[in-house]
Amino acid sequence: MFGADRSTKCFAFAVVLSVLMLVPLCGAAAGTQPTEFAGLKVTVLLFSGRPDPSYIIDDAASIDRVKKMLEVAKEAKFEKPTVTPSILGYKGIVVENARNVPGIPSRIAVYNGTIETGLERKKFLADESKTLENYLLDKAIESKVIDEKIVKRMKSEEDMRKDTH
Amino acid sequence: MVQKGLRFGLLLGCLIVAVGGCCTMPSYNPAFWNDAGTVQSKNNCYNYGNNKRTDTYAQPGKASGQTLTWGNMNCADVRKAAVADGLEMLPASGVCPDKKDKVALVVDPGTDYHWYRLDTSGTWSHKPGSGQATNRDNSNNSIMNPETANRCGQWLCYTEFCGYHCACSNADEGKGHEKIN
Repeated sequence: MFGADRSTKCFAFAVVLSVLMLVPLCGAAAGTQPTEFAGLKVTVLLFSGRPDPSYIIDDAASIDRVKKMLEVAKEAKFEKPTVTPSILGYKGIVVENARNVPGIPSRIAVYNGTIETGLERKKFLADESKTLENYLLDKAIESKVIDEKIVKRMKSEEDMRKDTH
Repeated sequence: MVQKGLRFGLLLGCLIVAVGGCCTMPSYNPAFWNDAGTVQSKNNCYNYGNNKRTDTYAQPGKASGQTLTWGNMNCADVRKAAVADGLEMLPASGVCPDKKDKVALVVDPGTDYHWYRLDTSGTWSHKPGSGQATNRDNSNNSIMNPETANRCGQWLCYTEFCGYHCACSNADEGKGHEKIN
């Protein structure tokens, strides 16, 4: 319907307008937010839509316990790129060490008795008794960051497991 | 007169393209979302369903000034919030207008919501929260129909199928046209 020159003009106009609209956004995106806490940020990967619950571990005793649990975990070999599954429901726990707490990797992911540490050079560990995972989940419940409804589901599942053993 | 009309139409078309853009169905291209970094962790099922990267963990209604709480985790409220963001309800014909993409909403009542999107392959895919985008359900089956897909995981089960909406997606990953945030 329209000639080629008109299509070209239309495209050029759209590009110029889009660039003008995007320029103010670039400055905002370049800024970085300072980390506001001095410890480990623990996020329980639960939801799909809503933000996942998270809490901070910043006391020396708890950090030390995490450190010791990592030390006793045995090295394991995995074929998969990550231990956290891509499913609905609970997908594990992520610990971020943005403040470089000594002796703790920059990132830890835990799921179903397996631990993944580091970002680019990942190391996998086995924690068959789920010591670290259960510790972090218990702390999440203590911190009251997990909704009561979900805590009830967690506890009823635990009770069912105990009954079957 | 005809010449003027054509020019006006052309200008209007250009403005629409520049501001909103044309809608196209997305293909299944999970690599864009599964970067194990910012894109993956800061974009959720609503981002993926709309094929729009915002890095804000987008929430239905937020772009239009609404805040969903636990009490709003039901089909009616989440649908209303999505419509406020610009997502259309699926017409009775069952076909999205203007080449918009069909997206599906499910909820775990009082707990959480989840979105699926239809890809050019004719199958559905989704991104469970900060996890990887996938075209498999919780039974590791291809998602042929989100109404019958396994939507139950540990401690969460998206039992209610709310219905379908139409979103202005894009063939390029992460560049959907809906105004979500």
